[in-house]
Amino acid sequence: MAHNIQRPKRKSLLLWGFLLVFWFLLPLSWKVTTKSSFEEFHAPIWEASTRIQDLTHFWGHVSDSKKTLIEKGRDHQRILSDAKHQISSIDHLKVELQRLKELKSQIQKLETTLELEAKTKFTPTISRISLRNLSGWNQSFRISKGQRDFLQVGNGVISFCGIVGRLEQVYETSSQIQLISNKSFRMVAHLKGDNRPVTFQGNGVLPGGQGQGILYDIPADVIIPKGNDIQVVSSNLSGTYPKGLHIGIISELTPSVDGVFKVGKVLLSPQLSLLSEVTILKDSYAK
Amino acid sequence: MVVIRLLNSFFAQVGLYLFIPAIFLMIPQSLRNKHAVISIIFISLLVSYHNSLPVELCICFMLLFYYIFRHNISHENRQNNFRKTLLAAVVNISIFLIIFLVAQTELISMQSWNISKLIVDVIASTLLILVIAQPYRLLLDQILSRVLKSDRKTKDTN
Repeated sequence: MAHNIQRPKRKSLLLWGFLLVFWFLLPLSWKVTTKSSFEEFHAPIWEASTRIQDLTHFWGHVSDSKKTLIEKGRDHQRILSDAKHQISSIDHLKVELQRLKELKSQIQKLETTLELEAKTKFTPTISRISLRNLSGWNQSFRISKGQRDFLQVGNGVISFCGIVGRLEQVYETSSQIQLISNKSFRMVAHLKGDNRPVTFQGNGVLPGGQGQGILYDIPADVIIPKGNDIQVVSSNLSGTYPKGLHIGIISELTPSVDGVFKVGKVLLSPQLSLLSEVTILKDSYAK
Repeated sequence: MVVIRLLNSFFAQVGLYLFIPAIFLMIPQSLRNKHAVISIIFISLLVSYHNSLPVELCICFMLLFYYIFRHNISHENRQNNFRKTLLAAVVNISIFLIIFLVAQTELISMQSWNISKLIVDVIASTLLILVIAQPYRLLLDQILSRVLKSDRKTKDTN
């Protein structure tokens, strides 16, 4: 049977070439503006998807059995009694708060007298994750807060499992987090119990979703006994994160190419891909 | 593509990433060359945006594969449907491998990734193509027949 096959015409190839050249010649600012408006246009879709998830969760539990409802009620009562206990100890907590405030003012006074530079302070903002992207070539999360909540590019992002990443792009009502496992993510870190700075760099994700990184510039005298591991924690040298937050664990060290330092693979928290909420650390001094 | 992105967001919890640009190469053969090229470029822009890939790379590989396989992959072609689906899967694997190799060279702003992740993602994406290619083709047929019907009606009224 004869098919009506059209051969690729020269005109279409020319059009292809013309469009490619046109794209290369377009000013970068125009490309960035187009991309950013497209992001703004899409943001409500990602936000709506999380709301739909909540709704499915709610409807899923509407048909719960009596046994489950009794169990949930029991848990609820426990939380209530715990809250009551906390309220009863409010006087003690007030005294404690007063003591902490006094200590804080004393520290501030000492810092002024000794002319010490005050430590970076952070204001936390909690946000939901609306979209996850864990492709091999790029790992990022999208959150539902942006410029309206005074977020800025470069703000640190943390969660209960430690460092999550930093804000890569901030739009009006949403932002993009560059994950700690991303290869372009670098930060200063410490090995727990050792104050010497080392360099951490993301190294992609493994098939199960667990992130990994590489630790560079580890002093040659650091030894990890076989079967043991060392925790890698954040440093306050970069100013983006507070000191001592969990990054990952390292269990093996190898000498670096120059032989002066050691290098090791860091396994990040497996909970990182399961997160649904994160905390953004805003710099309190930033305008 | 929005649906695929939402699926990816869900499957990210188990570390899977679905990437199926080959499915969007199924463009009606009745489209004129100029229109087909424009639609492929538009699709490439969307693929690039939704998968954080360099735009130029997307346009190049999408147009390249479109020109090579356009007669075989087109949904109006009366070939065996299973063969067309298999071809789409092969094209998809090839696109995956191109991106992987480009990323390994680190010439453009893309990070390289490990081969085990590539294998898992390729298997998952291929399975998805095998499952959705036929319904997607049917959907395209439905849309096309409706468009053609309305087109005929307009011509008749004129």
